[in-house]
Amino acid sequence: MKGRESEILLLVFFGTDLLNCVRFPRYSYDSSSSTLTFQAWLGPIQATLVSTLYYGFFLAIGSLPPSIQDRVSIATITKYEEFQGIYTWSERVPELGLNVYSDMRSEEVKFVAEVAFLETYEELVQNAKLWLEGNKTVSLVMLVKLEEDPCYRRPIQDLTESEFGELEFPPWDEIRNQPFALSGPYGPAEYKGFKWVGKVSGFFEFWAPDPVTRLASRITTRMVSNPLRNVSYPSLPM
Amino acid sequence: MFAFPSTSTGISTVILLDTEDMTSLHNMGVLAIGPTPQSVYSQECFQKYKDFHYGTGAFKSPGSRDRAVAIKISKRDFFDFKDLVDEYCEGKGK
Repeated sequence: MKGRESEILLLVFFGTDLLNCVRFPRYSYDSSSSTLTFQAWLGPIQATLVSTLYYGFFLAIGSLPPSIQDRVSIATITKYEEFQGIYTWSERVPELGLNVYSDMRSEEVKFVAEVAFLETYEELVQNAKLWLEGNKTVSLVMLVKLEEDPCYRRPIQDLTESEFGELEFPPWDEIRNQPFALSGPYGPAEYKGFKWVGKVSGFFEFWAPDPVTRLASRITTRMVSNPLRNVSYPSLPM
Repeated sequence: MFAFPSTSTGISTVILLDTEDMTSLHNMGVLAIGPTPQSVYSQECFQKYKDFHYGTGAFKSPGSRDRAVAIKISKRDFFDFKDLVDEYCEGKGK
């Protein structure tokens, strides 16, 4: 499936299942630290990045021989529970996973992307450890840390009702057509004198098990890249 | 039970102490007749989860749900929490 067909598939998939999702918050459990975490579903910036990764994998899988294509699937917002050792009984819902059917016809997750916007880098690293040390099938983890400066804060929350009325905001469904002023290609974005989005930046890096210790270790330098397609990715062991 | 917030890690953290104690008490309790009741602590966590979803309780103020929430919870209480979420979602026709 190529070209327009894949675009439609992507639109259907993300349009109905991910971007407009109003389900209950995700929750994850790390049994090594007895920590239950719940968090909101993806925001627009995270969702855009995940859709880019998804599309990249979609195209890459499409270029593989059919016999291999049949063994590979992309999973978004899927709960994984297969963890061992101190991570037994852990659960995690990554932003994206790449599953491969083994010869035994059991599905194994090989690659995971964790995209954090509000979580800290340290929390991302803990997630990488969970995947690489707690799940023996995962061979590569991509950590993406997005940042916004200044961090979003509702700019009109301190206005009185009359002050708000004076600004004469159009109906919400017309706001997207209004002229937002961008200070740079990645923000900040201003409208009616208020800053609605800060400057968005980010970096990514890849983690894999250390060949000797089997502990999670970073295998690339921290990368800040635009566009992402100029990056040469490490190969994924199948 | 004592609760305190911590923001040192960047995500809002609410740590409720005595979870293991509560689990122990739960385990030592008289055998229940009928369905096993979920622990009080897991019910508190479930309530927090619902509050996070609906923007009620501790998450009523604007922006309070902009960050993830982390809670310390034993495995036993986590299983109870999951049961509560499943029961609730089934009841809601999710």
